[in-house]
Amino acid sequence: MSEPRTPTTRGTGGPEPSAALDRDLLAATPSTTSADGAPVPPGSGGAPSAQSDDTRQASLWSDAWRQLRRNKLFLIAVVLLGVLTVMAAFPGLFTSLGDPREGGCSLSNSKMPPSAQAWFGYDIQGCDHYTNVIYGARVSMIIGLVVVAGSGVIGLVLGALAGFYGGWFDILVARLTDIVYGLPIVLGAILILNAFPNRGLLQVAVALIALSWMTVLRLFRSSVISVKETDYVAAARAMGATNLRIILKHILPNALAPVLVYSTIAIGGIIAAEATLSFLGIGLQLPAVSWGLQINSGRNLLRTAPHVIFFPSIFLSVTVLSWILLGDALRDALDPKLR
Amino acid sequence: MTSSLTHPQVSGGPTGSALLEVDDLHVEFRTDYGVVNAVNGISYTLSAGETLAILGESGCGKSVSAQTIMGILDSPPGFVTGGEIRYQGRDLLQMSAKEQRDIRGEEISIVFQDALSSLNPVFTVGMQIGEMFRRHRGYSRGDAKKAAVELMDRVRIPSAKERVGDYPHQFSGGMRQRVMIAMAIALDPAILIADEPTTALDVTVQAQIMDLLGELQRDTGMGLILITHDLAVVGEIADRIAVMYAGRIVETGATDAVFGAPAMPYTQGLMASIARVDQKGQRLNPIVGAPPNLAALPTGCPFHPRCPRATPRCPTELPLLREVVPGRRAACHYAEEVLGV
Amino acid sequence: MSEHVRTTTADAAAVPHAPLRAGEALLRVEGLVKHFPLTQGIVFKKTIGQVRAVDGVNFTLNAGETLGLVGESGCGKSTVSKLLMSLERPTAGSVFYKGTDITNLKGRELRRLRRNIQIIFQDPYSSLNPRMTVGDIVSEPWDIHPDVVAPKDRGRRTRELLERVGLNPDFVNRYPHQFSGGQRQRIGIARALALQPEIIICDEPVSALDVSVQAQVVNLLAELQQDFGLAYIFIAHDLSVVRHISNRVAVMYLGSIVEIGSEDDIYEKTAHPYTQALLSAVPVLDPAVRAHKKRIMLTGDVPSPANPPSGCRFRTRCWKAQDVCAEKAPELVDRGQGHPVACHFAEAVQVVEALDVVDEPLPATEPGLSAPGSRRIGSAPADRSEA
Repeated sequence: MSEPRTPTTRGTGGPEPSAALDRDLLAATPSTTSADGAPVPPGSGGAPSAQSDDTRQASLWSDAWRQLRRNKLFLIAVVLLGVLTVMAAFPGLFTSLGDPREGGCSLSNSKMPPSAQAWFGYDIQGCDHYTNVIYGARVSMIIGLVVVAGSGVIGLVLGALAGFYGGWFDILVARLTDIVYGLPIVLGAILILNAFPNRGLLQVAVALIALSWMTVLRLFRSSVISVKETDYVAAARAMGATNLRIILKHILPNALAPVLVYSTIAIGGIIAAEATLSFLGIGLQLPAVSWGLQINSGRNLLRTAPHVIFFPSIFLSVTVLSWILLGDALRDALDPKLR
Repeated sequence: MTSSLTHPQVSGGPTGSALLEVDDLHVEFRTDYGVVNAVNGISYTLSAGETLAILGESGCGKSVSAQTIMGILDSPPGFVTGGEIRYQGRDLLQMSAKEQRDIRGEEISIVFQDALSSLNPVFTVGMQIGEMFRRHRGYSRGDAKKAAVELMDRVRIPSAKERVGDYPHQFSGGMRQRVMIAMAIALDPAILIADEPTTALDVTVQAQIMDLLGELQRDTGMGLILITHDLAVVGEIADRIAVMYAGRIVETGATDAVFGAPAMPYTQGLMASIARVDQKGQRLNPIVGAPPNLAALPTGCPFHPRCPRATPRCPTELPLLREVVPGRRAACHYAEEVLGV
Repeated sequence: MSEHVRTTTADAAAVPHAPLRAGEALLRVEGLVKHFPLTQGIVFKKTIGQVRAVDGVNFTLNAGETLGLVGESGCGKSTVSKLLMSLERPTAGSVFYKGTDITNLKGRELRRLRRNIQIIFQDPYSSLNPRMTVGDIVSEPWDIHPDVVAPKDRGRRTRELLERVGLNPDFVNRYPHQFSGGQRQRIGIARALALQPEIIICDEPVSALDVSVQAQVVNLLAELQQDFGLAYIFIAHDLSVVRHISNRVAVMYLGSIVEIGSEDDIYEKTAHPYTQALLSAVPVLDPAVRAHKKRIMLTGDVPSPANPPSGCRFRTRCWKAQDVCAEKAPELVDRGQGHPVACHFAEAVQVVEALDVVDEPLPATEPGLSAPGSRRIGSAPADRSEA
């Protein structure tokens, strides 16, 4: 009488209901197992295994990795980026001539077209252009990666916080975003770079990060807001998940795709932006070697010595393409619907 | 598929000659994942003043057939691969685009489920209703507005005169559906197709809308095709019913006769599986499994994997829609046994 | 909130399935209110009004029973579910679980409480994370409450749960999009069961499913209730399904309960005009029942919850409304019909006869009730051959 309708299978601890589960399994299995019919893809279900404890437990990341390993475009991108990374780290492996800044240039070779000795010809200073391009990889790769990573981290963190918590913080971030968006990139870069006594790779990277985090933030913020409203996030909260867990486990994987796509495309834009700044005299200065500087120096020679602009452009394009392929493959691998 | 050999008509309309005859219609969708057979040879007729319900679950092809009649099938990926749709004896599918336009809208019109996305948010409802008269009847702006107010009165939108200048978002779901109905009946069509007109609405509003449709039909004598998944709604308003499953009509007949004693196990299963407000504590007997994937239909009778009566004949031989008793057709090898005759 | 209450609260939540004291309901809701502020402006937000989504709701839920919560869209039934799940904080009022106030629990205590109250959502497409495997979805509750199932047993228990809800346990490594709506709903049910809760809030669990699949899920819920002694709050707009599954039913209109009682009370001695209209609007399959159904057609729409009518909220659409209805909000009390009704003019009526009841003609004299008759569209007589 004291506990009306309290079910008998329920105890005060954990084990009893579990025992009830076991018992009911026997009764329920045959009639209900295939109640809705099997999902579409045949053959992937596998035979029912007797032992369940040793069954492979798939997760998004392990499935994504298996998917990536089978993706030819991903492998191509990885190989290309691997070569470019080695080129950036150890340019000496690719050319015997050494750093073009350390001599070896002869003005008599200025603007000479490609030949058997100099595959890429010579630039306006008479330096071997192949060596130029090889040595240019380092700056361009570092700038692209550092800036995209830096602006990505800022954008993701601020975007997640603004989207997830909303309120005054969201308003503050939104207005800050508007202000920085309103700043022309050249003007902004001049302001920032002039604040530094001397300008090198790091300073240029900082300036570009400071002016390029907004798009990632906006993309991520809006995906976070749309994912935040879904029932599966409500379900996670209803089971007591912490905000950190919800953000990492539920929101991040579902909101990341547009950011990933944007970031890999943005790498190309960033490398080009470095070139623009250098051209305007507020980025890297000429003794430095970068594809951006080389493309700029070739702009006036398009008619007379097109190879000067052609080869660094090709390398830049291949680099950007590799990043895009990588991002594309990653996005597909992280979307179970495309498997 | 063998259904082109015979395509019996769902005939027996109460007032004789048919307004609309759908004859062995086939529609498929060519997608990246293969060909989806959405409609696999359906035939039915509709007479003036008659209400025909097309009942089926999601993906059974009931809406696709309506879109084909209205000429609003997304093509590609959708293609009509066979059959005729005759309006007053003339095949709509063979007409020129202009002739089709003249019939659709003027003679046949449609009301969709989602009134909000069917209305343009940046124009007033008065303009959108009046547009029908301006485009098809060449009314002046003032006359069109007057006609719009009259129509809004007719679909019982309160204080129509004041609300004619309001925008769609200022109306409730039920009122927006009334606006859609007003637009659909503006040109006095002979046939109104209502595609799940009340699915998005609350039950009291659903009753109002169904009531309105019935009243309009009585006033105008138009033929009404009601497409729905709700058995009880069908029971309340339809004269005849065509039950669809996997792109085919599997049973037809007068509504009360079909619901009184179904001749197809699928219809029987549907009736046993729904909870009813007039029964308490009854056991629900669900149909096992889920509706089939239209890109990979089962062989033979598409219902056989879920059918309690399936025999070895069912997966091998497609049952055609055939007359079981006068006025009743069913696509089941064992329809007589199911019906108990 | 006093120190004393805080301690007892912590105690109750600390024991997952504390015994129920005599005469105490499993869940008791008192004066629950939720107002959402209506704001204007982007930079400087200004509150210009309140949406009274839930405005004073009281009910109890006993162990092992199903309470149906019925109402049309905007009546506040889903907000009630969010308040019960502590997904929203109430503006006022309290929720008592086994006699202790759980309204303002936070942190660890709230997390412990969550083991006892779980939820099943309406939309099987949005309620499962598309980037998690079925196994991860069902076992995620154990990552958060590690003491429920030891890590080495989780794989086995996940498979058991899947099997129990009628899914092939070999599906653990698949993703939600590979399943049909009904199967997804089963996955959601398995997830809700994982923590062995006492109460499951079912928020329109079958209304997004195909007709032939709805019954599968309803039957599964009924089986699970029997096996595990679950108590359900079954939120739905479909009065037929609610009648089928509920022991007791509460009818909501514009943020408050207008009638509450046993299934028989609500469906056979319907006393509130709104409930009567709601029941009357439900289409009926059986022609014999339909012929004797009372026909009540409501006019107009539900008023905005931001600006509800004074007094009784239903009065603007009610055929019984008189001056007193605008002045005085009717209390939800028993007015002689055997169950609480919030209407000054409550009168028990049987709107739809149950199938086993002998037909008898109903008088149709009340205003607003037309003569009983079918609502068949079209006047043409169909040839209704008796097969």
